[in-house]
Amino acid sequence: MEGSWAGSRGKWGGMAVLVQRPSRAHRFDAIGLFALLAVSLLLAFLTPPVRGDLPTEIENRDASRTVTWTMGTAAGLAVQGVDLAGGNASLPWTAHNLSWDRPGEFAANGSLDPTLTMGAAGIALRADTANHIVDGDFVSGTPWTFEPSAHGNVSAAWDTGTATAVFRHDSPKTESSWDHLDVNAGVWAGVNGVAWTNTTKPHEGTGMLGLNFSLGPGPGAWAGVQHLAPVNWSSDRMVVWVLPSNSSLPLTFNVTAYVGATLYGTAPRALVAGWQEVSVDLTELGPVRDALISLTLRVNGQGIPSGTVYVDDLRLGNAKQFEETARVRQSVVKANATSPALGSGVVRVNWSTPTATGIVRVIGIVNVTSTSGSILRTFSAAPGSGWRPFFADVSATTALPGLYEVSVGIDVIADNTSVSSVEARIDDVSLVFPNRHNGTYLSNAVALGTASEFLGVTWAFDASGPTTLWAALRTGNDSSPGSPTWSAWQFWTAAGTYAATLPSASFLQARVDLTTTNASASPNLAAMAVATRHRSMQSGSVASGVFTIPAAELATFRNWRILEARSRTPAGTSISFAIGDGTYWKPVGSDGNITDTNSTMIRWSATLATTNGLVTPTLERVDLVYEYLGLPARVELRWPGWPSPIVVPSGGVVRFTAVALDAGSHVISKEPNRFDWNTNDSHGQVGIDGSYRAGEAGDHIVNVTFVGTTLSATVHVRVLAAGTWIDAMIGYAPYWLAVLTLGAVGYTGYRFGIRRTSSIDDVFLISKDGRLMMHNTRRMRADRDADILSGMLTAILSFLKDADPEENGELRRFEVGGKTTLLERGPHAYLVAVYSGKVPRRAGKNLRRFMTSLETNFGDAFARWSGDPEDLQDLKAFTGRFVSPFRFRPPRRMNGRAS
Amino acid sequence: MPEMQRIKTKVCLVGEAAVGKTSLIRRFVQDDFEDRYITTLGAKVSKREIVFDMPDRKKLQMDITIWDIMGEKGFRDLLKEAFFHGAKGVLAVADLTRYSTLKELDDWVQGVFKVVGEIPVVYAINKIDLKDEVMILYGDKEIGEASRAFEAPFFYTSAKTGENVELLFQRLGTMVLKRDGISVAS
Repeated sequence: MEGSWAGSRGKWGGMAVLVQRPSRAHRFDAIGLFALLAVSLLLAFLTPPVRGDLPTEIENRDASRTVTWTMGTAAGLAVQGVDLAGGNASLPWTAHNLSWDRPGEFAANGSLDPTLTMGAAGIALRADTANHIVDGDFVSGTPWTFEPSAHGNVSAAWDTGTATAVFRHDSPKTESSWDHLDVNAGVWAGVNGVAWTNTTKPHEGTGMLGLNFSLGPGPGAWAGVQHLAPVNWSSDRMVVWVLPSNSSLPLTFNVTAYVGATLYGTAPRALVAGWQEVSVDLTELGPVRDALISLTLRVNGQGIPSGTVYVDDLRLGNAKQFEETARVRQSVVKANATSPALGSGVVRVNWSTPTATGIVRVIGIVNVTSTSGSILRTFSAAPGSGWRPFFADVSATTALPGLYEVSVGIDVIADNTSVSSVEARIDDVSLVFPNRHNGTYLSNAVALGTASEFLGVTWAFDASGPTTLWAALRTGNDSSPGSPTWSAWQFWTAAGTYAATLPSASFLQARVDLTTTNASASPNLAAMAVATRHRSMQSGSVASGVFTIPAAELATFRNWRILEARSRTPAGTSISFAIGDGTYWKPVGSDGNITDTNSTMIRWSATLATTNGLVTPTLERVDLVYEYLGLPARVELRWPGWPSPIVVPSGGVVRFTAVALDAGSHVISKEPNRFDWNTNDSHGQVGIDGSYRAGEAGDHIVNVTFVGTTLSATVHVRVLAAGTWIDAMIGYAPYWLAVLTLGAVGYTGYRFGIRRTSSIDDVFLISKDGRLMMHNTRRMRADRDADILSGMLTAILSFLKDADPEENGELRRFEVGGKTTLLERGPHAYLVAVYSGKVPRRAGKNLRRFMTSLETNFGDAFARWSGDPEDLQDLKAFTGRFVSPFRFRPPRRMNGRAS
Repeated sequence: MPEMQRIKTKVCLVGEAAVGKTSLIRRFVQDDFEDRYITTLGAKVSKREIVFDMPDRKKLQMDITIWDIMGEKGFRDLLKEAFFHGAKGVLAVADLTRYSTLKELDDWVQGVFKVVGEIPVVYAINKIDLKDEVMILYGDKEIGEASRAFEAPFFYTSAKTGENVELLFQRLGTMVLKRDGISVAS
């Protein structure tokens, strides 16, 4: 290392000196280091000091010091129930959640329309749930009437075992074999194909009739097996099993035959894969079928180069054809009218069809009839396992009171020749008139305890389909919802959590409108939660630790002067202070005066409180000021009659007292021997006790200096010749007594006369822009604020001037309410004098003379006046001369502070 | 107690008719004269005293005479010289429910400036208490654009609730003092 800071190695011991010239590189390092230090110092200078909450102490100019605590952190502070944030102490926010998650809580805090009901799940529209069907569950079978179908094909009965109503149909087959098609040679022949007998896997018997065919591409192509002899098919139905094979679909099947010379054909039936039973309505071959010629079983199609179809087990018979309904029925008396709206009347039935074979289909029927009309509802009662419900809305027919016939039945449709069997059951039949109506829930004005902010609201409800639910909240500041302090309603139409934009307030009201367009459906209100917050209503406190006067300052410490705080206390909030020394607390008055405290240990506490949950007091800083005895700053002289001028006869004695004070006007010394006394009265003298004995007549000075300092004070004394004094007092006593008496009488008379006839009540000196510069009044208390009066007077004069330009600002006098006002304008201000009684003849001239004198002495000050009354402090005394009852005489130009 | 310095100043309260100028300050001023002077004379003067803390631990009392000027434009042109003369600050008031009153403030403030030069201005957007009851057609953006030309801060105020009115006076007073080279604790 070529260069180093000396430290202990250097010649200068501990002083930092460079003992060896550093290399160029190190010189740059050093320059850089200096630059860094300089920048650091500059930054340190420019950057505000780090905020600290331990007290800081600063020196004041008046022999006092201020100890300051700030609220940046809790260091050095005892904090209870108060937040410290942003350099302030304030009352913290307190969260408050209003939560109603049970219907009972809604009911306890408000009222429900009669159309609403309260259940475990929430609040909903009230429904009439009574079942107007008696024995709907078929426990007793009465008063049901069980009616079989018209021709007895379907029965209706009460099944006591299962407690249900049961409907049945059972019938045997009506068909019989006409040709088993086991042996076909010589009986059937192929047409447009080759017919043959196949004995492999026939559907019935030992064989079946096969047909190999080929169908051309054009329409109308067919092939078939034709019966070689005429046949008598007088039955109305032919049934045969058919099997298409060799991928020969699509194909249709029908039957043709000649009756006489006329060829008849049945409607083609589409064939599907696999064995299928085809039923053919033979009436389509004409009414007379006892000699059918060339009867052919055809397959129809096109573009099939090679196909095969098998037929087997051909049967003939007459079909069972009917559609009949069996019912259960009972009468219902409805006492009250309901709405015809959808959902106002509903029939429910549970049904089951375990069996339905050999028929076309089964249909369920619900019928409600009255003298005012009838309503019929049907449903497909297809066979299957289990119970299924069916609902029929009968609102349109059942609105009026009266007698109704309610029936539930099963309709069976059959058109078959095979064995038929149907079993259908019904149970749990009900007829209800729910008749729900719209309703509203309205809460009371719910007190939140204090004014609060609203952060969010959560609604839990279900409103779907024909139902709607509108939830609403509003807030106010009294317990009378709808009064002017209450806000408008804010609505929500969907459940969920929302940020609330409700105005802050101390009361809350909830309203929920439940509506439906289907009298059997209802929305459901489950819960509501409102999140709020407010400032803590519990008062909080901040207290300092004990501050002790530093030991070096104990000797001069005198007393504490004042507690001052930088704080904000909006309406409804307060901060109260107390001080103590660690053993007691005593409150501090609003003026902060703590001059009766002279303990060298002190601490303070501040209690923050609010009665309005929306606002908090904030405390930013606390200052405690204490006084101490400082160094001598000035000397003051006192004498009997102070501060009147001192006039003393030659040889007379005046006893002066000198006081040495510090910058805070604390008395340092008043002992005479600590002062050095002098006078320029060559024949007079001042003793060490401050006694001045006047010498020769004339004006002299007495001077005193506080010993050991340059601080001094001087006073002027006028010494009268002893003879003049005594002669004046004794020799001419009769004359001056007479003159004095006459003067007193005359003055009294003059004053009495003047006051009887005229007096100046007020003198205003007003700047051209309307600001009051000075007001002198002889009244004890002004009727109106002089600043406001000055402004209004200026406005009036401006108005008059603008209203009549010819007037040109020359208004000099006006009379109002028995008083006379004179005005005089100057370049920078104008003067207003208000007289009561008769105005002296010379008043106007006096006022002009006074205005001129004011402008002469104060004109420059008027021109530069910033608005600070201190700048014009000599005006008052000056004006006093004008207000005096004697004629105004302008003084010589003043040398006062009017500059 | 700390020494108190005093200063007297004059501010003008301007804005279109019916924006709520008189109502806005009514509860915050000493008011010796009836409101009818505004319509007969064209102006009414009231007074507000504000005490500020100064850095040297002194206090400063500002006696503000507030010249409430009638909100008719024709009148403004007629008497502006007289009433605006010597003003140290402007309280410019607009109605939150009428956008036109905000736009008109530009002419009002320019009218004052023509008489006394550029002085501190504070915008008061009044009737904020009606924000939930009527449709509001303008907001921060429009107000910011209107007041930016005069470097004027703005406050939403309510004559009904007194919201921000105290702050309005404090802010204007601070700006007037700062313009005169006097710093006070804000």
